[in-house]
Amino acid sequence: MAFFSEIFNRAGRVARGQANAGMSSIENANFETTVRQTIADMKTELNKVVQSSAMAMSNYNQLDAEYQKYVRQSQEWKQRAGMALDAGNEELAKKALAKKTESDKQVTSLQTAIDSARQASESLKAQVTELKHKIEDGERTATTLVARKNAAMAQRKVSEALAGVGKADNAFAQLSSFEQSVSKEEATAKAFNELANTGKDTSLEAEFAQLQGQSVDAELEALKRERLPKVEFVKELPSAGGR
Amino acid sequence: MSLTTSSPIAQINALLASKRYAVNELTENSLRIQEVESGISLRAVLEGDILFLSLVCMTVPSGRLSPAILQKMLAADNGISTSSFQLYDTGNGNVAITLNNFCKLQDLGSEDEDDILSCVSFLLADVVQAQHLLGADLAAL
Repeated sequence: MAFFSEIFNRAGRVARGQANAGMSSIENANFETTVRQTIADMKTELNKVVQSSAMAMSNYNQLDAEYQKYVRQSQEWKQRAGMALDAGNEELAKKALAKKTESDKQVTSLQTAIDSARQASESLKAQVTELKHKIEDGERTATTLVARKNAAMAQRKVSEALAGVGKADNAFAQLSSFEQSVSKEEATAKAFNELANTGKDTSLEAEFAQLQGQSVDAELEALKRERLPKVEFVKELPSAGGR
Repeated sequence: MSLTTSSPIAQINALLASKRYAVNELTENSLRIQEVESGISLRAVLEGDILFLSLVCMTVPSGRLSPAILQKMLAADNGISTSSFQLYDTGNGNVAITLNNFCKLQDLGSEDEDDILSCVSFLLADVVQAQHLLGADLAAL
């Protein structure tokens, strides 16, 4: 891993990193601050390249503006020369063409400079993009490295803590004990249930249940009887026009 | 639940306590977490942004761990899907068979809370499965 090896090859960063962070724990600080300082250095480098890129772009823009100005002037003088010829003034046309030639010379001389400025600007833009990708990669790698280091440290602490581990931390024993207590509770509940049912005369219960059923049937019959005479009374009423 | 107490370990402590775990701070960055009903306990160590959780299943003589037991522990289809086994030397020729899990914390917001509680729940679920898987074999050692 290129990024990883770079971290450890550039030991000078450790001191600077620690000075920046003001950390006291050397062991932890070394790793994390080195990683962070590497990223910080890459960002500083990026800022420098961005500044250079901005200057190169500005330079290119200035040259391009000047170049475009002379291109326009050349076109204008050509147009004027044509107008002078159309007007039959050949002398004036010559003067205009002479001016055009001067503008063309400027265009030619600026062409090389502008090509060079464009190349410089594009090269710096590519550097900016590349550095940004490197920083993103670096940040991802740094995060992973720090997380792995922290996980390893945590495991070491667990290991140290387990050096004298006792039976109290034995989960299987706890689970067995818990299961036993649950079984005991269940058995107790079952016993209470059986005790509650002990002494009940089941045949007597059944007789009472039958009696309850009979009383419901009797109530139903009584209700039927209550409703029956009313229907018969309505049927027996004579019609009003019959009298 | 929004955590507002001071240090990260204190915030984790408060979170777990609010979910009815019995929590003790062992050191400035480690906790003992106990599920109160079963009495099962586990350890949590916070190192940077990593919260590492470890649960001791059983301590056994290291020489008695047979290849068959180790194979059960490592088998992909052993039913332990959210935690991983690790052996820790506890001295005197013994090893602690542990189940482990970890999460990477960010800002101790709701996602982190969910991660922490999930990690603990996974371990407690996996230890039950682990007992079914290894309990009889280890008891015979």
